[in-house]
Amino acid sequence: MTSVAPSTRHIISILVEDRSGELARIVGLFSGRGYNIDSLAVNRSIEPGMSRVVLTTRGEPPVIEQILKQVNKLVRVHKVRHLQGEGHLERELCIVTVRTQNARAREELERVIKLTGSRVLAFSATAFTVEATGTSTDIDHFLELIRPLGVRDMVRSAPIALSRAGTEAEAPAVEVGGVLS
Amino acid sequence: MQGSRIVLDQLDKDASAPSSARRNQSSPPARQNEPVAPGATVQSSALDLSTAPVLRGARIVVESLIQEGVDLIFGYPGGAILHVYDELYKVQDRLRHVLVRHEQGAVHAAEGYAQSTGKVGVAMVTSGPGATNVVTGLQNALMDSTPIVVISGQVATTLIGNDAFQEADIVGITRPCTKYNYLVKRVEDLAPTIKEAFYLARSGRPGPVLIDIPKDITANTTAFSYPEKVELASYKPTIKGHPLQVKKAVDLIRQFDKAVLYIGGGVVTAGAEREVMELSRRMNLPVTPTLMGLGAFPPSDSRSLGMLGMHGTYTANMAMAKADLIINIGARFDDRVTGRVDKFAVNAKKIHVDIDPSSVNKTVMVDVPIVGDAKHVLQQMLEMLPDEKPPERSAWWAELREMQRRYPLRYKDRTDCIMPQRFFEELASLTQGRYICSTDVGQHQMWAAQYYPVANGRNWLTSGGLGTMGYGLPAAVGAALNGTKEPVLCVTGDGSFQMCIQELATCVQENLNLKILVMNNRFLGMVRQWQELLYDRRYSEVGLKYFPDFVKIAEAYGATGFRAEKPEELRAVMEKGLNTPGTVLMDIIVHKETNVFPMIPGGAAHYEILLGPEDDEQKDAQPRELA
Repeated sequence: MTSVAPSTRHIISILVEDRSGELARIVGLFSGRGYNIDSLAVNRSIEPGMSRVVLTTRGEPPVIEQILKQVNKLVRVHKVRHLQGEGHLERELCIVTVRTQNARAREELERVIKLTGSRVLAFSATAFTVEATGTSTDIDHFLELIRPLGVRDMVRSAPIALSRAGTEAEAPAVEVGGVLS
Repeated sequence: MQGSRIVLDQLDKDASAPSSARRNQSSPPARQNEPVAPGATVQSSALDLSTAPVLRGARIVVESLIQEGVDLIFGYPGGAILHVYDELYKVQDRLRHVLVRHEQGAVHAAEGYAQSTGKVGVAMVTSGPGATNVVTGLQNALMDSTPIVVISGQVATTLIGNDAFQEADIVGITRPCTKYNYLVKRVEDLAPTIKEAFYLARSGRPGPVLIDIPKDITANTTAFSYPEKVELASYKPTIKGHPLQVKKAVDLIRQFDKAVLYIGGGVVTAGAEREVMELSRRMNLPVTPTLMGLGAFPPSDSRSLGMLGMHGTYTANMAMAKADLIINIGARFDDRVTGRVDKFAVNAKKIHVDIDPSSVNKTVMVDVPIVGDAKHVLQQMLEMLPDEKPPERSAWWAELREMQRRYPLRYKDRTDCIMPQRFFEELASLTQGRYICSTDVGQHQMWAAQYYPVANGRNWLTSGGLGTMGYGLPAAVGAALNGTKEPVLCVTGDGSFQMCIQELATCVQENLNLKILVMNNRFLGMVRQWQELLYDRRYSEVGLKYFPDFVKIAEAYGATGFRAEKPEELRAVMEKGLNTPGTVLMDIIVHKETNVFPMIPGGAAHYEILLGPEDDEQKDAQPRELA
């Protein structure tokens, strides 16, 4: 059922009990059933004792349906949410160090920073470290602009995502053991 | 002995049953499928620390098992689980332990016990190699949805991660082959963990649960009170079907003429045999069981088409191919049933009743999914179907009857050697299918499925999903210890039998009324069959060039052995074997190169059925392709 061709990216948000081994269960489910994890973010959630896992994956609709159901079947998973379309907000963080050997390079960098709304975190005589946040696509574009300036090092986080305020009720979710039709 | 230096054995402060334990004994274990309210994880039964007895972990393990209603466990001791075995010694009168000869045997025995009784089977093993030996059994139970709990010893918490003697990360190893598993890190967590493990094993879609207990946890002490119920907010199996979906299903059953009821192991698990019978009767529906559903519908009933799937009957498979409506109750569109999935029942509307939402639309897209317990959903359906004159479906039945007439199960008998099918016919005629029958995996399993008239689903023990050679004998051990007075049959092959042959010792040790029938063709028959049909008879490593004398093996273990080599002695040998007390092995030497037919080759569509040589002459031209 897994598709070879690159297909649509899907964001899945999982609320799981913060217990040893639970993340391994989720990750193992993906590898064991031949699904791919493009990115993975895990941290505490607002609910005590719960972790929020936000992961992105790819697949045709039947594969995504299976992923949602299989994750939902995990005993300590409380909620699984499939975030798609306009119903959610998404942010990814990127930190990048750029060489700035001369004034011209610094000017060029300043222009990009202004244009993209990124922020300087640290600098030295020869390099600037800049952070940018945005959707994964925003970050892709940011990196396209900044790459020609001479990137020395780069790290990007997994995207995190949340239902847009007010759309929670309408956001598509997998009901626990619900009827799917 | 590893681990024991960490914590000195605590004094057993209360060797007798704790007062709270006695008090709670009357309350039965939580019933399977009972819906639970959301809330806290585990509710303790008004734990009064001042009166609750203080016990060490090992004692808590055995008291918890007893309170869970367990009276029999299968296991094998070792260093890390020694404290618990010490407690087992003290409670022998309340909790019986059966010593197997290999940990794999313990798990299969627990499965056989669980499958034959509907209760949770329990196995206990030590750390490291003891624990890794249970992996096959766990995966087997996972795939066949059998409720078992396995308790494994672990090295002391202070040694975990140190590559200690007999250490294995068994929770990591068994994560994908259990429904859930635990590493208990505090003695206070023991009782609630055991309570929850049993609840998970038996509820929803049942399955295996493993509890890994470090040695120091079994030595530490705490106040013991067994929780009365489990509440897991994140785990709520759906029991009742959605009424609108049930209505849609019932409308389809009324509307479509060429309908088939396709039933699986879920019917046995839910105990929904009567409801299946009632639905079939009221709506005049033909019924075909899967390998796991055998016995859920009487094979003698006129509406039974026999088993479907790779070695199912011609009629059952063609009924699925020609149907305009398939009603799947508690089966999972396994690849052994569907064949090539894009050619599977393309014209049929499909209804799928399953308690596991992830089984729905997994391989085959269905029109009406219903998530719920088979028994409840069928009752909901029956409420909407008044008991009036059943529809005739006359054209459909005529078509099915004609197929049954033309292509029954058949074979050419011989006088110079015993045909395997003949052996199974004799077994059916001698027993009428009334005994519990376990099988191993391979040709004999398929012939047993075709010819043994399983009287009810709990009488049929077979490894369906995983296809585990070696399952049969220990599973029969588990079933024979379930309190039955009847003999238990273990039908096996000369290949499979040798995979857990050591459990003969357990059979004799427990003086089991077990009748082992080895269908001996001196081949790994099913693999040989595939090599004959699909690899131009290049028999690669399937001829058992050396095979032991099974009769002598039986005798060496202290069992009784008989052999039948000629057709004329077959029945007499089987009669004698079945009527001899204790554990009896019958070595039935059969024709070496008989194939199991019908057969849907792997990757072929489910209507591309190979029939035996007897049928070929008169068979309609069907598309043939061997994948």
